[in-house]
Amino acid sequence: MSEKNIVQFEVDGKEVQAPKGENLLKVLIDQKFKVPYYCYHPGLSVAGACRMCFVEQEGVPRPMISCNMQVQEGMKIKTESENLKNIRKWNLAFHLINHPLDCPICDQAGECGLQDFYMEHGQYNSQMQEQKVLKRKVVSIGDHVMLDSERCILCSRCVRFFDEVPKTSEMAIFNRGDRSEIGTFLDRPLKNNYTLNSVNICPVGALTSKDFRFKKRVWFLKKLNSICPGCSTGCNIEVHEDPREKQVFRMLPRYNENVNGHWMCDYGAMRYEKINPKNRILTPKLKQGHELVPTDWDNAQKYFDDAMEKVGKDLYVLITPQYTVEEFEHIYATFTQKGIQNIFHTVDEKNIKDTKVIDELLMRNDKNPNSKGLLKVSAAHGLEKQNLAAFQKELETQKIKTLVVFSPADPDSDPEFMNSLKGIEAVETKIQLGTAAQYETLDFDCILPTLSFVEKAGTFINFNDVEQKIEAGAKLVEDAKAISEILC
Amino acid sequence: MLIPRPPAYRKWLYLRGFYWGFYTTLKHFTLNLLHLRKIPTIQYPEKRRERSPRFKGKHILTKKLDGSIRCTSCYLCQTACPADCIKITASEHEDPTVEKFPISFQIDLLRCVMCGYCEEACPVDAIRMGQEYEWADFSESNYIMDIDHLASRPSLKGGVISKLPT
Repeated sequence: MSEKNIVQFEVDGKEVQAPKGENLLKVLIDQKFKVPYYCYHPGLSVAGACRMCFVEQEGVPRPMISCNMQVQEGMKIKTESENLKNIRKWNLAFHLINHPLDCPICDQAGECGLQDFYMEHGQYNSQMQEQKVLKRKVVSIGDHVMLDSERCILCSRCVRFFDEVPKTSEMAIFNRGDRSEIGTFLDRPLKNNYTLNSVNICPVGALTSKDFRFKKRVWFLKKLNSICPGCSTGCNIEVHEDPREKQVFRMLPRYNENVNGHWMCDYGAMRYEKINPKNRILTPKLKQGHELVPTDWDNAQKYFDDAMEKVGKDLYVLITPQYTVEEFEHIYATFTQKGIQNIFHTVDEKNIKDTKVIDELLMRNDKNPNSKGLLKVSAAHGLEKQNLAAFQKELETQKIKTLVVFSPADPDSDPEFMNSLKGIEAVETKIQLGTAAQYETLDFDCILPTLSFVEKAGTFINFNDVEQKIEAGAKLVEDAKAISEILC
Repeated sequence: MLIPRPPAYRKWLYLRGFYWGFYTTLKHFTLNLLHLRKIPTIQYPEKRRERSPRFKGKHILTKKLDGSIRCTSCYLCQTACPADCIKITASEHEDPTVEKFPISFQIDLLRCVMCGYCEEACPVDAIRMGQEYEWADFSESNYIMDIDHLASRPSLKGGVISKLPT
C-alpha cells in the first residue's frame, strides 16, 4: 500500500496508523483497545444495531458508534470517559432486560459477549420491575443449530451472515418491539452447508450447536491451530480438545484472508468426530486364523519388519493423500532407499484439476487435504504416474505378494476406497497403516494405528499450492505411533 | 583425621531426659486416673460430639420441591474443585424449561479434600456439604459416590429439599 493511503490519528493519546477509509472499530479491535461490541463482525456488513461501540471524537458534540465511522487523518478518538461508561452501562442494562440469565445451562458461557462486557460495564443491580418477556426456547432449526430466542440480543449477525455469505437469506427478525425474535420462516430448517458459522458468530447463546450442546464447558478446552482435513480448500481452523479426556470436541474456523476468510463449512466442522477414539483403530492387530486379534506393538512391529524383509524389493505400497507432506517424504524416502519402486498413490487427477467450489462458498470436490502434497512428493521421486488405476491393473495380474496400504484417515473423503481395493484378497500379506476404525473390516493381516492430524505436526498443501502448517496436540489414542517410528 | 569425642560419662546424661519424660507420663496418668482435671473425653461411638451446622462432611445433592435433582449441571463445582474429584455428565432434559440436567454426577471421596468450594461455587444451591463423616470402607470403588447416593442415600431420609426459588 502506498504512503498516501495510510492515515495517522490519535486514540486515547496514542498514535495509530491505518489504511484510509478503514472501519474505525476494526482498527480499535486490532489495536487491542477495549471497546465493547456485539453486532459488528469483520466479515459482515455494518448494522449499528447493538449501540455498544460508542466512542467520542474531539470536535464532535455527541458520542458516535465506532463501527459506522471511517478513519480519517488527524481525528482524535477517546474510548474511555465518564460519559461513555454511562452509555455502555445503560445500554447493557437494556440488552439484559429480557435476557433470561441462564448462564449455568447456556453453552455460550465462558465465551459470551454479554458475560465478558458485563464484568466491565455491568450495572449489577437490576432496576427492571416488569416481568421478562418470555420467548421460545430449544427450537431446532436445521441439523446443526438450536435456537433460544430468549437469549438473543437481536444483533442480527446471523441474519446478515445468511444474507451475505452463503446468500441463502434463511433467517430474519420477526415481530416488533420487545417481541422481536430471530428465526427462520415457518421454522423451516436451515439447509445450507454453513449453518454452524452462525453459531460461532452469535455473541450470546441464542444459537448453539446441536452437536456440541452440553458436551463440555468451553473453559476446559485447549486450542490448537490447525488445517481442516475435510477437503482440498484447507480452511484454517482451531481444534478444541480436552487432553485429559482424550477427546476433540469441536473445530472452529480461524481467520485467513487468502484461504477461507472467517468461515468454514459444516461438513468440515464435523470432521472432528473421525479422530476421536471411538472411531479410531486403538491397538495394533494381527490376524490369527480368520480373525484380527489385538496385540502389542512388539509383536506387530516384528511382523511388519519380517514381512518387509522377506519380500525385499517386490513390496507394493498404496498411499492416500490424507497424511502430511513430511510423512509422504518419509515414506517415499524410506521405501525408495530400499530399492522399492512400486509406490502408488490414490490422487484423482480429475478432481485435482476441478477446483470449482461445489457448495455455497468453500467446499471443493477433492475431499483430501493434501493431494497436491502427495503429487509433489511423488513427482520428486519420479513416481507421480503410479496412480490408483495403475495399481488396480497390477492387482489384476495377481503378482502382488505383499502390500502396505496407508488408508484414509477420514472414510467420508473417499467412499469408494473399499471398492477400489477389490481383488486384494489374493494378496498374501496385507498390512494397513491408518487411523479409521471403519477399515478394520477390510481383509488385512496386520493393522497398525497411526496418528491423526491433531496429534502430529506437519504441512498440508491445498488446491491452490498454499502450504499450511498444522500443530500437534495431545495424543488421543495411546497406542498410536507416528509413521516415522514405524517405518525406519 | 582426629575427631574429638566427648568424655564417656556424658553419654549417660540422656538418663536425665528419660526420667523427666517418665515423670510427665506418670503425672498425667495419676491425674487422669483420679479425675483431678475435668478432661472432656467423649465416649465415642456411644456419645457423639455436637457439630457446627457449617461442618463440611459428605456431600448432598439437593432436590426441588417435586423431588427431582436440583443440579443443572453447569460444571461450576467441577471447575472450582481443586482436587478434581467431581465428574458430571450433562444431558438434554425433555422439559424445555429445565433444558439441561445431569445424567451422572460422581464424587470421588478419596480425592476430595473437603474444602467446600463446590458448595461455594454452586449458583443454585444444588450441592451442599452435610454432617456425615463416618465413611470407612473396604474397597476404593465404594468411595465413588453416584447421583443416587448423593441425593437419596438412606441417611438423608428421602433427600434434602432446597427451598430457594428456582
